[in-house]
Amino acid sequence: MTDTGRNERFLVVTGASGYVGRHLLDEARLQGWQVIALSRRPPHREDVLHVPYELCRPLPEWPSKPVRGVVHLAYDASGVTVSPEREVAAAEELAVWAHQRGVPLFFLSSQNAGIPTRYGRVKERIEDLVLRYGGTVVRVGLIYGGYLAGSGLFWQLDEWVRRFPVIPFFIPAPRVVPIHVRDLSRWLLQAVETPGYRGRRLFLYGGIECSLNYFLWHLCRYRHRTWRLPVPVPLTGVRGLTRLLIRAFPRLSWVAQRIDGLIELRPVMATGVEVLQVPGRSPANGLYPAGSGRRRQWLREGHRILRRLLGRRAPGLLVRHYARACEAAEIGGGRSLSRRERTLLAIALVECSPWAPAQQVYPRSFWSRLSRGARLMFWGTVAFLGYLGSRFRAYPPTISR
Amino acid sequence: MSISTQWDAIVVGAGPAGLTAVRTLLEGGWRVCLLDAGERPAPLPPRMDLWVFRQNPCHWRWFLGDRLESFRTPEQDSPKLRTPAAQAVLAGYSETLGIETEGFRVIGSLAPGGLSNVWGAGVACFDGADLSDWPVPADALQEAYITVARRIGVSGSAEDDLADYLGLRIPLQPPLPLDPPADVLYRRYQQHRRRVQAAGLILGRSRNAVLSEPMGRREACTRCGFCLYGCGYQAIYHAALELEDLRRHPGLTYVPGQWAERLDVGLEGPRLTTLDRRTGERHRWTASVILLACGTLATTRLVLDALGSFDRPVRLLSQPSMGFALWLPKCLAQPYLERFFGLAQLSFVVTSRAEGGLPIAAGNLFLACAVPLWELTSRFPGPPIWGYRLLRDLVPSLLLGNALFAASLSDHTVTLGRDGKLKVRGGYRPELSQRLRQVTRSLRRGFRYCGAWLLPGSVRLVTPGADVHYAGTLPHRRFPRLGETDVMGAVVGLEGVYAIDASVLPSLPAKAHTFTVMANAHRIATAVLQRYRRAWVYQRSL
Repeated sequence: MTDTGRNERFLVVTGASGYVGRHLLDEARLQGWQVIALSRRPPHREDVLHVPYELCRPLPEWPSKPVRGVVHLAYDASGVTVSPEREVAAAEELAVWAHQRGVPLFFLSSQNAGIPTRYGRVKERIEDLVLRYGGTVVRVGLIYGGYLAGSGLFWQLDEWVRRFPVIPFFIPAPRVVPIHVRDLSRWLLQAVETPGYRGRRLFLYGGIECSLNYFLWHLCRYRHRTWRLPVPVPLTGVRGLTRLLIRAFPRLSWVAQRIDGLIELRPVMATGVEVLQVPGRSPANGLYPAGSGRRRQWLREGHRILRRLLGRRAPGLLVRHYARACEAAEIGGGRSLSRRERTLLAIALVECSPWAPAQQVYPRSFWSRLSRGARLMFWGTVAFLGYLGSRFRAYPPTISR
Repeated sequence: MSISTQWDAIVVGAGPAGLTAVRTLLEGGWRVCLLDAGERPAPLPPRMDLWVFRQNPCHWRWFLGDRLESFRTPEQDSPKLRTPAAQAVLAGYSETLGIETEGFRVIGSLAPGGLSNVWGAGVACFDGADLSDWPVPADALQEAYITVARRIGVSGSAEDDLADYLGLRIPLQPPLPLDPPADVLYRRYQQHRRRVQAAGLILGRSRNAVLSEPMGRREACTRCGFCLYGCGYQAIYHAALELEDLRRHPGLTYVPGQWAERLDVGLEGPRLTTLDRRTGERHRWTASVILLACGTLATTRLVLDALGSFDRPVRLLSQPSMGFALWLPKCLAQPYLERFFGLAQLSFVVTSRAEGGLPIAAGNLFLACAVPLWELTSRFPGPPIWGYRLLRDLVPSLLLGNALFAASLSDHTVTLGRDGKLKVRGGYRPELSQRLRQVTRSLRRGFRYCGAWLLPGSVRLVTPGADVHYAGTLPHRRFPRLGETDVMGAVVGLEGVYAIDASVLPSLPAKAHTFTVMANAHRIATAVLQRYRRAWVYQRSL
């Protein structure tokens, strides 16, 4: 970690080696934050200050720095290593530390906080505690996207989809509110510096609520670029199976709890928590490894339009230029092009290429001329009909004043 | 704030009019300061053929702009004004001038060379009938036409049916060769001249400020096809080209980046306050004579502000114009041209038989292949892919045309508000509707005899102001009132201030006016030279 200057901002992150933690560290460093990473394992970056930290041990000491915020992400994913009481006590130590120094504390909770499972109960107890100390509780739905790390719910889903040839099709399907891990990290960093979030329990809504089946299908299609057979699974059966599993194999209860966490997802509006809309992205975009499927979308569209223009498979070079041009229009918050404009753009790109009509040498044989004449007659008729259609609104030109 | 009095004259604006006056004054031995709002000249296209340059797919950025600027402007604009080079020339004009519009599209330039960077290079002389409203004798202007034509280089034919209309007596270089569709049309016209003229259409070769023979550092036209984007060989005249020559003259001080903010007349003469666009500092400039050539709207703003004439509408002249497309079946299935001239190849005049053969509209014809295919497709009524499939085969046999009407058919006003905003209100007179029908009918019949079809649905009237021919806000009058100019362009109420750009034109017939504006600027500068020379001789004799 580099030596600090006077104006540097410090952020304390617990659970920094986990899935959300890693992405938060990346985003924080990108935005110029200095990070004090509290985690069991050393974080993946070397430009942060690592302080070894375990939930089952007291809060460690770290060098005094001008800390601007604390983000508490650490939790016992296995559900058996740390007792619930100890997990709550560890959160309390952190909350007290932040409260005494007047530093805003953000606790990342879950959509499932409060449900009658171990996970839900622990989350709810920590939430109450954090609110008591003036912290902010941030509830989120299904965090997804980015690269895989830790052993969160998204990692678990990803593993299932990757390993098994089938995906469950739950009946009825539980609803999920997906939020991309980068969107979450960006919001957290922005919220740390924004006054007005203290003592509030918020639900971050990325603008999309979908069924779990839809999410799994997108996971196959966009992240793994594969196809999996959806197998109908009645939700009641799964629920019964997990109860049995917990009773029969207490040591495997974390697996059952993970399944429980999935199927017991409550509708957001039913939780009665203040919902905060944050800038988000669709799963189709977020599930790409790059975090955005926009370029792929341009490439697909370019391929389609250029094929229609050229009458054959479009050269890759032209398709790539099409995608770049569409992106160029949006650089710096520029207006994206309409569908008609994108078609005109494709025409402009064809025109500026060796495949342009002006670059073609047409054979002067009788059949070539006949076919071109027939083509011209057909499209001429179409154009004339189009003109007749538009005549009433475009012609004659209106004279003002 | 600094005061400078080391020049005999200050010229504001480095457009065609300003540079014509600067040259005239420098040749008269004056020390001249040229203030210009522009800093960087417009980018020029490469020195190669368009069809070769287009073979590289990476060059789309050059044609469309890094951020696709060509797609940002509305469809009604001329394709020439949508190129990235033109966008760079036109950028920031309305914002800097503080213009509010209603039913009018304002187009202006702050770049060195002004709007001549994007002009069509059409040359036409005003004749006796056109100058009937002017207090200026036709002969005085005729001499100026000849001087300016020698300087900028004009090519065209002096022996065709338009010789009377476009001006006979200016020195001309040989015309550029006609490209196939225009050539076919012109041959047919010559065969059926009487029938075409009976339909009210007269056709002839265009006069363009384009070199067909080298002149100084400028090369002759190579027909590379880049005309829409400028000319890398500098065969097309534009004022920025002349600026490079003039800057070497010891009598000229060129100060770029100066935006003329205020004008007033003090005891020591006229004073101009400018804003340095780079540093944000204000400078004050004084001289015995200040010549305003910063474009009709900017000059009008300065003068109205100096006279305190707020909230009073002033008439603005602007020519209504229309566009259309012609199809020549005889050229169908012809290959695309590799080399061609992209500006006007043929010109025409539409006359009214009912009005004794009086010209009611005039225009030019261009090759459709000079305009990007996507531009043509964007005007197609229907899905662009259908348009592309039709036009890719049709383009070699298409000609595009534009026609200008007299500005008396327009009804535009400019008002300077007390908040410093210039409000431009535009509209056409009701008579224009009937004129448009009359001209369309003549074009359809006339070109039909020439073997060309006027494509249905292609006739379009452009938005008021999109013709970019603004004039007449401070017109020359024999007995001028406040806010008008005398025969020499002297603004009444502002001693020592002369307007020399298009704002002084009392009328605007159906002709391109840039050449006349340059000739008039030369005439005024010559008159100013003579007036002050006499005054100084008189002072010395005392």
